[in-house]
Amino acid sequence: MTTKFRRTVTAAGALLAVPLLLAACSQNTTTPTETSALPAPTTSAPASAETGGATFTYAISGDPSSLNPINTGDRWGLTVTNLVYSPLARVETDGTMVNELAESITPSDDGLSVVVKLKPGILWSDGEPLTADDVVFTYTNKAVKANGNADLLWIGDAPITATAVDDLTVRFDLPSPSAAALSNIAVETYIIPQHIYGSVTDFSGAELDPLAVGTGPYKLVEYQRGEYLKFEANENYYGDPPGIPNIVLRIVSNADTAKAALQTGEVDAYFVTPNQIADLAAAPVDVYPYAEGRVAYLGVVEPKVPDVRVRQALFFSLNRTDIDLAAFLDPQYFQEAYSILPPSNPYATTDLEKYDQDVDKAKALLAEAGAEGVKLVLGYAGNDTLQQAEAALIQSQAAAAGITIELSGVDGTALYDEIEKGADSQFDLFLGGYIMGLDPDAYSLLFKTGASANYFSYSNPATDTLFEQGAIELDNAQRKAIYADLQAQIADDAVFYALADNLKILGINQRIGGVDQARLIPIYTFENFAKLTIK
Amino acid sequence: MLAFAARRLAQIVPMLLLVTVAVFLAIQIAPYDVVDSITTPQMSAETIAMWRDRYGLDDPIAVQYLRWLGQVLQGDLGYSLASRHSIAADLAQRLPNTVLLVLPAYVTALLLAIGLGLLAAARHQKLSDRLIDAANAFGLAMPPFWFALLLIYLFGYYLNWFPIIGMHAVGDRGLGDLLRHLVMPYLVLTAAFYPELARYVRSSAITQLGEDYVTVQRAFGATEPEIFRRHVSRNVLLPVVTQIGVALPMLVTGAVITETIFSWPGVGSYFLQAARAMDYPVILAVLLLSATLVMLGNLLADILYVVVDPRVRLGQVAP
Repeated sequence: MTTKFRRTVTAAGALLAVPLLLAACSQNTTTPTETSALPAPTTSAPASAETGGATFTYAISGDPSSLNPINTGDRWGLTVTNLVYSPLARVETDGTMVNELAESITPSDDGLSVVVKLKPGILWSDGEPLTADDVVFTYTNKAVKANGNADLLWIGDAPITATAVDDLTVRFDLPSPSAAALSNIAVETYIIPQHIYGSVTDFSGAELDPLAVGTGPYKLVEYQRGEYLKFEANENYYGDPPGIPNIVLRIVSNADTAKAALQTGEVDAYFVTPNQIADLAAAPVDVYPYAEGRVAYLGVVEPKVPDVRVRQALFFSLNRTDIDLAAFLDPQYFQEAYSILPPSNPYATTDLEKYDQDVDKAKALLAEAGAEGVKLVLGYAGNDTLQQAEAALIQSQAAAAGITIELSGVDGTALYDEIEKGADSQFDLFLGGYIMGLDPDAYSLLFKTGASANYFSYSNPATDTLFEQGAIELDNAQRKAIYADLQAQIADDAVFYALADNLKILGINQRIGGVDQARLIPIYTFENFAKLTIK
Repeated sequence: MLAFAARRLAQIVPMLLLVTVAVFLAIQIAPYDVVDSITTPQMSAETIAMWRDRYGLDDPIAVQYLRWLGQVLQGDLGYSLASRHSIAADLAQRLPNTVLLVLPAYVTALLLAIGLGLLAAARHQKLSDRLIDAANAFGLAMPPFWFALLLIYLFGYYLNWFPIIGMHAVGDRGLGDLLRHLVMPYLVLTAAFYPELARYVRSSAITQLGEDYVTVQRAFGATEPEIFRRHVSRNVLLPVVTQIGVALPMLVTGAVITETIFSWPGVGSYFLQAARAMDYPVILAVLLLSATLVMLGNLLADILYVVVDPRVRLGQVAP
């Protein structure tokens, strides 16, 4: 059975694939408790002496789906994890590795093991020391498939194993050589303390008890479901002490409300959309557009449009810049994309067929294929205003080349369900977007024959071979060459027309400083919230 | 009357079963499920299959339904599939929040509607009646979310009098803070509930004014205030009292949109989130609660009718 997966169009992948950085550290003191006190209208409450000034309030769109670092995968769950816990290392957006809990990370020459030495003297927020056992404990439990988030720690049908060599040294053994695993092993897994959670046997739940003990810059001190999460600086943090003592993640699901709250200063930060920015001009708010490594694209369900010349004709009929401007309004809010990899990815190439608009060529290809007057159905998320704009422009541009496109706006999740039917899908084309991270091997999930997120039902043995070669090639220059060929191959096969890396735009109150030092990164918003300051 | 109530209560059970079956089937017809709404491209097929298996989503529909029903019959509403949090605990936290918002707004709207509705009827076709009626029509036509945004702009942004988000400032559980957060959503809901009630009161008062007994009273020389106070208002309020029974389910689902806009942590925003994610145990739990209140509310309305109007008899064929 073909499994169905679906993904909401964009947010999608937020997951793991993103390398991050961390900040972490330890400290003792209180463990967070989940308060569930009802807002009983009792008089006078023990206002925790909040001097609004010492708090950074960030509007988030919903409750985290999980506060358990072993299995959390959504944007806000990962944001919370990154506040409270630390990974061994992070990968910066340019591909360089920055150590966090790790002092050194040494892969073996045969690509079959990695030795990680931990920084000495790191403490958990409860004051206990971090040891190699904690790392082994975390990786071992994350690799348990029943816990629901093991994929990155498996190569083929065997898991990566971790062993404590001494108090501060861990060795990871790979079942077979994997370039992707070597670069991923130390990142994106946030270490949890064995002395607190050692007796837990099932890590598939959404919450741990106690809620959070970590080595990150902040401690979770209060969680009011549906309202907010409150954090205080972790005095045992191994990095520089956090610049702002309190952080609040405030749950605001309505975009208009969140924008108004940003304007009034009720919240300090919020992800805005291009069409909201004009309204912020009068408010003391700065906007920071930044790349998340997302690719917005037009996809073709290959079995529905089997003639490559028809697909190429469609792509030649389109004007990428105009479509991007219609959706994202201003060049400062997107970067044009040409490949399956986002333009900021170190492996991205521009040496491929970009399909610059050429209507005559499109008509010639159609004539050659005997497909004049071809009619195609384009499915998109009907409630997504960006996709509405893209779809309308694609329709009118294709019409100029003699391609009739029928638009069909549907529910975003239902769209993926439909296109996964492949040849039986009612859609020939669809609009989508993904964030898959830095390592190019992650993109095999989208383009390898039969892969779990291959919405295109795309199959080319040459592409598959290149993915397999790239996954095990340990020489970086060689690897780049392989992935350049691979990107060119997929472009020639014309199942995927990249539109743009549309930037994430954080609106942030001018009273907050240190945004550049805290570094805006995909998914987690800030690499290290501890670097933020109040001016 | 007790026999009547018992019989009606007994009817609630099969009706609730029907409601839950219908909702369950509707959820199954949707083209995706809760696992679809939480998966990401990075998840392997195996992992996704594991989640689906763990939630029992691959089982036949009947098996899934009976498993859910069995749990509920034991008093266990189960866990949200999306958050894996106890639904009963979530509802226990959120229900009072919604009641706190809906109840004052409804009572205010009702009192306003009675006062202004009777006033309009007494001044029928005069300026004040026309103003009130026009305001009612405007209120009916105005979407609550739009009114909410206007209030946010005026009181939240422009005047900066009231906070926009949620029901408490972080760390402040005081009454004053709660009231400040309550003002705007309360006004929105009051404006949402009021027009329909007011039109109901007004039109039924106007009807009463045309009745013979009013003419007779006038012939006897009674003043208009007397006629209103002693006769018309009583006859108008009878059906209004029964409206209260019908309004019972609003205590659960009466403020879905308002709660969402103001990030009010009530049942409505909880339900909306679950519906988007196809989180069926949550959807069913909220609808079960709401359907129960609909039926209890109707029963209550019927009983109140008998209580306030001695001419009505329960369960008997009119002579």
